Amino acid sequence: MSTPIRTFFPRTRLSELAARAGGMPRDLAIESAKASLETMRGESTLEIARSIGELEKIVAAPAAAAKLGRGQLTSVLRVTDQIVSLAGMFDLTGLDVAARSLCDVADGLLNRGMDDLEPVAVHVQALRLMASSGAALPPEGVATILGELAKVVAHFNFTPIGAGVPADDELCPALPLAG
Amino acid sequence: MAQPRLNLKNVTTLLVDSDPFTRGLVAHMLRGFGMDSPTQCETGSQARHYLENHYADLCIFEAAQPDMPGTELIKWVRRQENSPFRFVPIIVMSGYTQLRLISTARDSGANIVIKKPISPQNIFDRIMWAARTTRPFLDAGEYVGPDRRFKTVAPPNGQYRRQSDRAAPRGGAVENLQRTNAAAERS
Repeated sequence: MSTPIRTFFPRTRLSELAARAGGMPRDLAIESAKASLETMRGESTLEIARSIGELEKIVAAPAAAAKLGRGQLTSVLRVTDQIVSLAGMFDLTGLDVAARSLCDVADGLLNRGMDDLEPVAVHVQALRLMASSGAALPPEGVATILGELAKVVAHFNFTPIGAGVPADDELCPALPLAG
Repeated sequence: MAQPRLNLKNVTTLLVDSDPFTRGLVAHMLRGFGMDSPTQCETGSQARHYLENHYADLCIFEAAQPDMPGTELIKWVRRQENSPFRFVPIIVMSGYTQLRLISTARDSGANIVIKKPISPQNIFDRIMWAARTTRPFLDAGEYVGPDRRFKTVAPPNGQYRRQSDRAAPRGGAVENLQRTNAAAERS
């Protein structure tokens, strides 16, 4: 016999509190949060540089010549995931794309039981170049680097991690923006 | 059109993310919305311990914690039958490498899943949605959590064909709507 479905209509405390008088209009709240976040841009840039340094240590000390162990690849994923989050948050598009590409490479290597160092190392070099050059790197230079990284991923035929993931509108409905 | 407003003062938030720097950034955003500083936990077990002794009005979890899958923490919250916090809105943040966990996070009882990188706009809108929508909460044995059907208004009868309904990706939601419509017609 199947389990009977019980349905509740809870009124959450969040709903009650948010409906109180006062509070901030949406645009003001978002602007305020953006301003607050912007104060962290410098620290975030340093954090990205620190993470790239961590990646450089991983690729500089492989367990065997030109090989990366599973633990090292898992560390690459963990560290690079944070770079993706930070780069995206601060609109560092080139870094964001390069870091996602590195995630795809590390994930692909892990899934196929491979241990190649080179595709990871070239991504780490690209990340360092883009992070240290910052705005000094012209858009054409960024495009060239990203194009080369895409060739690496294509060579291995790795599937992007984001492939097949539900679209945003499946994860959240139309938002109630009316006052 | 009037700007929607939310009064988030005194809303208590539990923020769980393994990375302290990311937690700090999210906390900055929340304070920008006028919220109090969130309680921050690094692991799922820390979050469980906190929730056993405190209440939170809103939970923001990373999709995977270092000591347990994020789904385990969500399911644990949803199965606290004697506690009011089983109904707490849960927002899950998924990093790029956690994207494959999105569907399982949603199906374990999260209200909303956000893909990182998060922005003030997308997190504010999701909080607003969680606060302003009345969504039934289901306890169906295997699934405990908010109704995963996003549309609360049933479409007119006869608008859907059974074959295409079965191809719909939302776990039989359309079939359920049809059954509801049929029952309403009979009564």
